[in-house]
Amino acid sequence: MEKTEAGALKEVVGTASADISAALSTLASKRVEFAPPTITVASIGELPELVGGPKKLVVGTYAPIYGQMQGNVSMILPIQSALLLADVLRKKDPGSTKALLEEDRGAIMEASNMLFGTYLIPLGKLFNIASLYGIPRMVSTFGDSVADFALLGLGKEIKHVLLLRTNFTVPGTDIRGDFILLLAAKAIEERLEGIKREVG
Amino acid sequence: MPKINLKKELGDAQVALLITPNERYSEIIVDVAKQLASNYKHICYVSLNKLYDPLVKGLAANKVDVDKFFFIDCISRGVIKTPEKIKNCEFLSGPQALTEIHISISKNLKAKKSEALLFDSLSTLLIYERETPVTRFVHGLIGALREVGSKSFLTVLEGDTKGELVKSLGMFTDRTIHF
Repeated sequence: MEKTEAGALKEVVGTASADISAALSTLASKRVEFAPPTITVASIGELPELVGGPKKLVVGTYAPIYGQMQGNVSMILPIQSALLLADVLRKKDPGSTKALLEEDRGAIMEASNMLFGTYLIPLGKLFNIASLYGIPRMVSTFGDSVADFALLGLGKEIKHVLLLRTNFTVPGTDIRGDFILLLAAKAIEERLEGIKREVG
Repeated sequence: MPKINLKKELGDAQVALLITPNERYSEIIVDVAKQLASNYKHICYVSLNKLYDPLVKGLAANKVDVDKFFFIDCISRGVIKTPEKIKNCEFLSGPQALTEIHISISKNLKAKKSEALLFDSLSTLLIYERETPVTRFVHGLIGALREVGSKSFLTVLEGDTKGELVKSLGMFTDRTIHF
């Protein structure tokens, strides 16, 4: 049972990565590639080290997950990547965006909305749990504070968290970002323990 | 690396630019906060990078006297619709809300009679707005700080020191301190 669950999870996540690559490529009119995520079932204590960002200012989007599933989902980018991503999404010449003004932020949040749904909907189906995510909001922070957002709102009763981590690139550009998805739910604690034994 | 004594470095001057290297940014901010808590009775801490709760917990864990601080948090409302009302914190709408930030700083410095201000960091402002409006904002802010008389410490990441903002700030601040 545990093997099937871990295997099914890998399959769902792999499919979602291909789907989001296609969706964002259409939005951007450029190829966007998502690498297959690494899947970790972590204890709460392990998270800060696992989700810590680089030692630099980063920007990203964040949304809380509601419903039977608790958690957070975020997309984190080095600032230069965020500026280039805004260029791509708004079909501007590379290097045009010097600061993330309102329209640029809107474009990045729209892309995040698409990205979050593409992972969360199939994961919800896999775990047979309903979840909704909030409207993505733009955040900026210094790398080692990324974990503060990732852990927001996680209750004390949560012991295990499913962490998906991947990166995406736009071939031919310097755009590179990290995507971090954290899911936790009391209802799937046992299943997460089983998956942890399987994938680590 | 020898520790920098902020009080000694600032001397009788009022406004200092603190240039922080990326790799030591977090530890430097804690050290700066600790020194300000030792040297002044009340400090206004403007945070554009760290959420209030982990910021205060992190400072307290590093033995900084957080009771001496009033926080202006420019980040939490970006992720929490209505942050819980906290006595020693004002939550602003975001790092891009320059007018709101200016008003809050001026108002709180006067109301709380803060002897010092820590602004963390100017680099974050440049994510959300072009250099010219940010430069205008910082010039205006420094004017207000001089009027109030608080000792002011404005942080900027080392990577941003080549830009126009930092070059022009060198003329408007009293000291530039490199960590």
